[in-house]
Amino acid sequence: MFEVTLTFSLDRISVLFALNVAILGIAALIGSLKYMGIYRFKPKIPYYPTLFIFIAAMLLIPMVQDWLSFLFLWEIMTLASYFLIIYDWPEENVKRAGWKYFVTMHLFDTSPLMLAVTLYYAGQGTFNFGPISEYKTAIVALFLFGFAAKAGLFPLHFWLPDAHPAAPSPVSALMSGAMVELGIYGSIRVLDAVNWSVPGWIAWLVGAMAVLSMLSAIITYPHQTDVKRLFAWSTIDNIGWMYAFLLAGLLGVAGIEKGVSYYVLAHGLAKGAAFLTTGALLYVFGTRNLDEMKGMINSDQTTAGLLIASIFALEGVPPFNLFLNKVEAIKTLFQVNGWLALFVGLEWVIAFIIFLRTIHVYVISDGKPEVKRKLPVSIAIAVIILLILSLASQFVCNHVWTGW
Amino acid sequence: MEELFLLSFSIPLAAGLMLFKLDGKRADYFMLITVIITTLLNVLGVYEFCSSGMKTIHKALLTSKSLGEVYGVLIDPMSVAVGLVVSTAGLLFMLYAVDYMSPNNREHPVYEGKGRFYAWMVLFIGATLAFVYSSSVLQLLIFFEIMSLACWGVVSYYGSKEAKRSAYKAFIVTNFGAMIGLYTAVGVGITHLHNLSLFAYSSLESHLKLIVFLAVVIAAFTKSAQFPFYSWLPDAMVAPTPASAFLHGAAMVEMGVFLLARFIQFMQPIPREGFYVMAGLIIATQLICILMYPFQRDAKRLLAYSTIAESGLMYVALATAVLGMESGLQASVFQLFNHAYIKGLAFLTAGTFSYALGTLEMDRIRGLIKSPVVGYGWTFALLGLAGVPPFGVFFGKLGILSNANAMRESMLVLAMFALLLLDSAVFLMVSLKRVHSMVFSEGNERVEITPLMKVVMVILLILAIIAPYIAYPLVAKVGW
Repeated sequence: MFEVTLTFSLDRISVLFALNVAILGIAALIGSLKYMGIYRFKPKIPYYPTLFIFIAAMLLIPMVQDWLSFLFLWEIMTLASYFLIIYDWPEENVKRAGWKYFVTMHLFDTSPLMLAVTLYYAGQGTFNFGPISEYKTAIVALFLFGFAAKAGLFPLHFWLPDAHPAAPSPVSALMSGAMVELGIYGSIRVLDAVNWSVPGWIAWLVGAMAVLSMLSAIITYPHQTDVKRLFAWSTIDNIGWMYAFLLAGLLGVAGIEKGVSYYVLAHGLAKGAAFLTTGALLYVFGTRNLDEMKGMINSDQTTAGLLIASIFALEGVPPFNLFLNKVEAIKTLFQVNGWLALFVGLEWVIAFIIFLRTIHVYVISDGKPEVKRKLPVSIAIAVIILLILSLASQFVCNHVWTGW
Repeated sequence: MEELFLLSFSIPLAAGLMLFKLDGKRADYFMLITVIITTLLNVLGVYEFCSSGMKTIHKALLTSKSLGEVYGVLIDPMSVAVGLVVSTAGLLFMLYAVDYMSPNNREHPVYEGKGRFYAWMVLFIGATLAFVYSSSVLQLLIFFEIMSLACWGVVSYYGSKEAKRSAYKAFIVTNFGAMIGLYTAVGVGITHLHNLSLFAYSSLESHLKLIVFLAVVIAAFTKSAQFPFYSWLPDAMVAPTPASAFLHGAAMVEMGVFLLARFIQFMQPIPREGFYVMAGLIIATQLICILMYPFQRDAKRLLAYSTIAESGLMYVALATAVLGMESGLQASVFQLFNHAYIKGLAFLTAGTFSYALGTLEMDRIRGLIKSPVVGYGWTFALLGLAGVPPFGVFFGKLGILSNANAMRESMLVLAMFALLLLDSAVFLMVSLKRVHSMVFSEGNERVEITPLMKVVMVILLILAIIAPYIAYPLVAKVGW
């Protein structure tokens, strides 16, 4: 029973995922320092120890080389993130979001993963990573399903827009920028184990879910007034992009791991910056409601500037490096299906227009919301670090990828 | 080495009888000394067993010509693993009982008559350990009945009408199981084998084997409160909480699993029909639990259904063992070990509700987070029971599921696995709602409990996390 050898190692793919977690982890810690001051009561949930466990679990997940430890750490990550989501528990809707998150995870993430891992064990006689020869289709399908639930891919995305606004902003940054991406990491590992050859229906299902994720995001964007919900939908959107890469891989394009890993890091940095900025907004204006912050540039130029920069970084506006990754995604898709590539390109433009409108309506518009507190330097520094790194992520990735 | 194990159950069996005469502080000390000695002897025995390479020791102490082995001890990885849980959990629950059974208890203040409770509990521990190390079917029968008797004693302890009724129900149901199951096994042993040793039963002819197996399944299912014999367990929650913890976590219910595991270990291969009967009853049990969770208002009743489901999981593992998976037997013992401490923690936390708040109604309890040990004890116990790591039940469930190759024999295995996962998801849904309303909410009352109770709860929490690492070396050697 339980044949397993615990080893830690990093290859080129996992090092980029781990790097993403590490950078966001540090930024979240810096961002938390002053930010946690907005919680006046004592929730008796130890924030920093839980955050530390959360980050440590996410850091170790790309390093382990067996499914048993992977699943164990995966569940520790879920548990820690649950406690962080319900940190502000006197708010009823926070508890509701926490319940929804944990129950969804247990039903659609933990359960299929447990079945997949134990099927793998039954077939291979070990938990260690290796090629899958027995129960191939069932294992791949269950793994992909579980990872899609964690990644928030449509239609398993429904927990995400509730969970992110509920959590403290630095935690949202980590969940959106690092945790959901580990679903992509897991999928890559499984697909590597079967050499990216899966039955056609799985590939097309992945493609359909990716397309629907992007579509649902652009339909939902204009209705969002909660700034954290807006960015939560942007995560669903970007997860669609990452799965589009995976689709290309499933349809026969070799070496898409590189493109995805680059995309994950660039997106993680931008998303981290965006969520930490929502924390800054919450700290400065005391609200997440965009309607109450109309014309924020007139009250606090730094915070408004950070928000604009984060949105540009997130939408892949040059010189932010996500631009290169989005172009790479479209190029990759062109190799398998021109229409799909066109759709993705169009989606990019539409999302950009919507976000530009958001900036015009809420940031540089008339009005002067009241500044409740001054923006703390620590939050600004955390955001700026992430934005600067967003300008150089391609370079960093190249350096790591070629040098490892 | 076997002397250590022999002493570890003879001492409580003898001391238990003396405790009936004692009361007050003297009963406390006498009981604690007995239980501590029992546990120390047992742990020492486990240590010696492990350091001597885990070789099975079988000693026949009493044999006769016509009946073969009548009395003996059998010390192998399975009995040692289970005995370790019984003795350590028993000690912790009894430590807690010292403070729990006091005039300060708001729901059930106890002014006198502690000795009677201790006496039944110590007898219970002794009988359970004796049952675990038994090597003949007659012994299994005798100690099975003494356990039922002790269970009657503790459930009826508070003396109310309901308590008496529940106690008789528990006694009659399990006694019925013994009549059907173990009397048949003993009868077959006397008339066909002329030997009562467990080792003799593998040579039975196929049809007799099936009869003995099905009879033992009935005995085991009454003890473990599986469908259709499940209703005595939720009723038995009128027992004092430390007794409930023992009943659910380490003894009574788990001994049904152990009994069946023993027979599978010694009778395999078992005719396929046995599997279908088991699978049918297990699936019914799982469905009932899934349906019953949402309607429970009483904390101990919710836990009772969770016990039924969790022991159902141990039977899922045994069902795969019937299909020929040796690791099914291991997974069953592994789950038993992992489940014991977290279930104990859950019950002892529920005990603090009646001790400090005077109620077990979950709707009336709020703001537990003000007393972090109780609040987190309840949160972690429920999450752990739902199979969330780092708590041991997670590994127990993985161990059961990893027998997936049994699906090649019968697709009923897949149904049981799916229900296993659904059961933990539903339990999580229900208990997370309860955690949110009971723990993370505003409330006025603080749960004041004694330091000893807190220490016991913290130790149980730690044990619930490290249980799989303790159990693994022993469980890995379990087999036929």
